[in-house]
Amino acid sequence: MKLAEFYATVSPFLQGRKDHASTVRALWGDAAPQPDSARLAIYGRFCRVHRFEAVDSVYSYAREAIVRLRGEPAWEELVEAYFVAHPMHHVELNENGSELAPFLAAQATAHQLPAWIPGLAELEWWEWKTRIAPDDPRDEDPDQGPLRIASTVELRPFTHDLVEWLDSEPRADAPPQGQTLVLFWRDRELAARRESASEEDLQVLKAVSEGAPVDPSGPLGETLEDLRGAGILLGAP
Amino acid sequence: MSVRQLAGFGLGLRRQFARALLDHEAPGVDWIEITPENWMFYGGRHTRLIDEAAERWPTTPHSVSLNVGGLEPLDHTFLSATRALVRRVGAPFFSDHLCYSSAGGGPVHDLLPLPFTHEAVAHSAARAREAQARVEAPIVLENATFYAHMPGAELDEAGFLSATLEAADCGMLLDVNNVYVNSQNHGFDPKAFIDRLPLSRVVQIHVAGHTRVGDTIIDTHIGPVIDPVWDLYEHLLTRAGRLIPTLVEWDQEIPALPVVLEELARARAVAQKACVLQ
Repeated sequence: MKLAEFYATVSPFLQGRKDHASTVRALWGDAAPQPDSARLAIYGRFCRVHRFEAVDSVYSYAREAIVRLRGEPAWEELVEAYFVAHPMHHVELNENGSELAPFLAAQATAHQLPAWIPGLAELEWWEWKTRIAPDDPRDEDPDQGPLRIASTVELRPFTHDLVEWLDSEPRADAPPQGQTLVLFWRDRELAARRESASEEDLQVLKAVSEGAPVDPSGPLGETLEDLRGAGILLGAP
Repeated sequence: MSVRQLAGFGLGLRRQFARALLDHEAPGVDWIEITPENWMFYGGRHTRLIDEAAERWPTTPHSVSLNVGGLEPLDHTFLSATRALVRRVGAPFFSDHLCYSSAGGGPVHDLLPLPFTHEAVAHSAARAREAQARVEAPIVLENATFYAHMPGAELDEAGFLSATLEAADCGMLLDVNNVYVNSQNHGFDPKAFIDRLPLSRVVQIHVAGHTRVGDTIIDTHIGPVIDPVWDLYEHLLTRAGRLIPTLVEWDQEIPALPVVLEELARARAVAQKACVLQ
């Protein structure tokens, strides 16, 4: 068997799209050697484990919610369907889960998922992206230079108050509905953070992004200092 | 960073104990190995840890995604990032496994066995040379575990490894645990296997633990190295007649750092027994 034929035969099995028995027949014919043909199944299992590893860690809360509401088989079915729609493409394992939130949104009706679950997945994705965001030279010397928004800052809209829900103890069954804007950023200790943005936060961020002055002794002065202390804003006012 | 060669005994940098390793004396750690896929695409704390480690120890990347035996073109993003990492840490070489790791056009994140054929030798060797040229550093290939022979074999494993290393004209990372695991799973003499390898090409050694599942041993990198693997390690050093930089892998169910350091001390003691350590 030439390499090209070998890969064409074994790849669908490794991707979870073809069963073990038919792959064994295609590789070895009817006289499949033991234990080699039986042990081929090990690789099918390993590759399946890696598909779940690619999403289980980053999306731990979304997974927990889906398992609680729809059961473990529903989560497994969704993950396998996700990787059929979005095959692995990146050598960094977690990056392969980049499209899970929109995928869950598209599947929500068919799988009877509450509307907040795709949003939860998106929030978890942005937490992960914030943690690993590339370093930007403009973030060095955080107290120096003009007032600016740190490179890792991301502002995302959500239809439910996921932040307060996630941080509450005990946690209710579902987050309250309501439009929120969540700030994601890496703080001065390089830890990933997320917080609901207040109206004052937004006013200061808008002013800074437009290059407008913010008076430190004015009504937004306290918010300005809070944002600087958190590492959302860098530089001097 | 300028290139620093490996010597002595090394440890894989794992997130579970990276901070503890960097914050303490870490006696017996001579160099560090990193799994680049777990570090090189990240900024923030990950980058800081890598930089700290590379400042303190010679460091080398050992990847799992080169896909040297695969059909798809070598991954440009991966090779570019590896080249940047090699330069950043001053690595003397980069290593990966003689296997394939993609299916249907994308990675599957596992180390998969190649058919032991002459076509696979030529194919893998050519891609190893290409990877070496694109990373601009020497490539080193590791013998992988395999649980099943793929169809159409024209060579046995030792013959396949030797032929590929010769054709690629590259160094070898000899994983002693993998030799042991394969010998148990496929019923061959591991010392005779080692004796057939081109030991002059071996520039690094791995030792690790494993897990027995039914009638198969799985290369899990869990737990301490067992005595038969230490015995094989001693045999390898004696045959090679030199101390080859040796790394203890402990990648799952990772214990506290002192436990891992005890394994490094054990490697040193075995090397002394093999009379290759002054």
